[in-house]
Amino acid sequence: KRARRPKPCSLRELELTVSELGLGYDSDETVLLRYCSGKCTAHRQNYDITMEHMTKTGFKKKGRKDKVSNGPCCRPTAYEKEFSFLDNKSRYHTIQNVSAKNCGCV
Amino acid sequence: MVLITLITLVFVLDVCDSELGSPGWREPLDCVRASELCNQNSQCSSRYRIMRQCLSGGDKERSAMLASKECQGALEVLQDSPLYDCRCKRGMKKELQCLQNYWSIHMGLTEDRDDAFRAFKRRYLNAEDVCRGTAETVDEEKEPEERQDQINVTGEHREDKASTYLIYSVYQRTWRSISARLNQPHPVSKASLSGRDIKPQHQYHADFQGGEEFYETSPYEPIHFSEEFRHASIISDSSLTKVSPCSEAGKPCNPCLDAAKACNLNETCKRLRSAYNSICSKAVPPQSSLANQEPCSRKRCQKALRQFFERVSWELSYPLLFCFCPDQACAERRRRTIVPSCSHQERHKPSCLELRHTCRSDALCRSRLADFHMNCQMTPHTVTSCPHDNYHGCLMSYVGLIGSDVTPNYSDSNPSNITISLWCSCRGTGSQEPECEAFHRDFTHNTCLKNAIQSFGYGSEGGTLLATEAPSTILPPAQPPVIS
Repeated sequence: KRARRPKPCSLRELELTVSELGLGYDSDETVLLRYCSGKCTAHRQNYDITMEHMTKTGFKKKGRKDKVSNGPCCRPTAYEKEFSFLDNKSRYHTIQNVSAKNCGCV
Repeated sequence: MVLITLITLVFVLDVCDSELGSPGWREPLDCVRASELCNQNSQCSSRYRIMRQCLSGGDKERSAMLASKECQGALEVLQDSPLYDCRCKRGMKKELQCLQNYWSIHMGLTEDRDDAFRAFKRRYLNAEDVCRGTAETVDEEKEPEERQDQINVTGEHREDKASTYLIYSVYQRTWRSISARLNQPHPVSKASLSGRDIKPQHQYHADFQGGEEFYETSPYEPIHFSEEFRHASIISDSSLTKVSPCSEAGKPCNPCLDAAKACNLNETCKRLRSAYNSICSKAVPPQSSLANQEPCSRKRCQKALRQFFERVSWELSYPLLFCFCPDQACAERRRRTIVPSCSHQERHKPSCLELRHTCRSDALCRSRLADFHMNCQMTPHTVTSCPHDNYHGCLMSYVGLIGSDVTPNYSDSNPSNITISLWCSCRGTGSQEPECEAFHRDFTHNTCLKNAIQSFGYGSEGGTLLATEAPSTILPPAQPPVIS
């Protein structure tokens, strides 16, 4: 059996109520949350291979205890600027950078 | 018989008009194009320039200017130009310019009612004399109500769009002439108007205090009964037609929340809604003096609101504004849709006539108001009490007012009994109170508007939901200003 190829980093969507965002707002309004998820294996550079090696043995040999991420991460490269909604007490709120607009392996 | 002759007249006139080479009624020119055409003609363009000068001054100067020989002469010439019949499209490119061109002629016309009447006669009755020999005219000597009936009978042939438009044009002009006559009531109309019930007298009384006409002709093209609109509102819950959208058992029901969801899931709607919400609820940092402190930037807020309603399709924006509400929380959400604390309310509550005056000094607001009066005017002759039973037209012209100086809104969060009002009052307006009340009642006690909003919320054509108001509430103030 061939191993399932991991999905590459991309933008995903989920419908949620504002309350479910965990930002402390109480509103039943539904929003579309866009987030980044997926593998970045295809984007590894020599830097990442070196870092992986260094965290395993290299740093120790040179007397360092640094921790370094050993590969590119799937993160938003841009956010949706602002979004506003009416809370359950009929007050308007505007929140920024809640939803991703673009994703990238960085 | 009357009906037949009127229709004959209408068609004869139309033929006549096209033979004379003036622009046909079916597709009126837009006023930007019309002024271009006028400028190509040396006589027309010079008169047009004069006319614009006539209108340039303040209120008092203007009426003096308009009465002058020069301005009257210019107006005479312009009434035979393409500018006289031109109209604007909602949301067209250069809409503001178009509206300004429109009013540059029509302001002159409306300032002097007698003149408008003379123009009407000259253009539509004399032309007809010349062209045919037999067809009867709209009977000049009949009582206004009877004439109104004549016109309304013809209005029933609304399936035929072309003829509807034709009739509409005649209707507009006849209406103007009725108002003109009522301005100087002759014995017959005076007696007949004061004694009748049901007929909404203020539809005719169009009094003229302070040189302002009560109702003005809309510069916009008439809104036809849009089939698309009608179906969409039915389809939205086809199985539940004429049943409340909340009749589905077990599911929590809040159509206003559903509307917000639909908007949030659409990029344009979400972006523009967020834009006006954040502008309208952002407090302006207090200036050096405390007196300057404003809760928000009203002008920017209103502009953002206008953009929202202009650029977002009605399928997404109307449900936010006209959603059906089972409870108060929902109705409060509906009331807050346009962020009334910024766009609707003000610290100072002006008199409604002041508000109307402010609106009329702005071409866009003036046009939207005239359009509202044209499309949401209560009429006793239709089931829905809307002109031509056209809900779409009424809602569209209502939405057109949002973001103008006369931004209407729900006056409270009562879920079942909808009341719309402007931020103004008529208290202390003295002798002008009846006129003021009549103006505000077109919002607060408008059965057509109420029916249109409720019918939209239910996703049906209304039917059993028609608001039935006691006849007395349709009536204007007990003493119409016509009688003095």
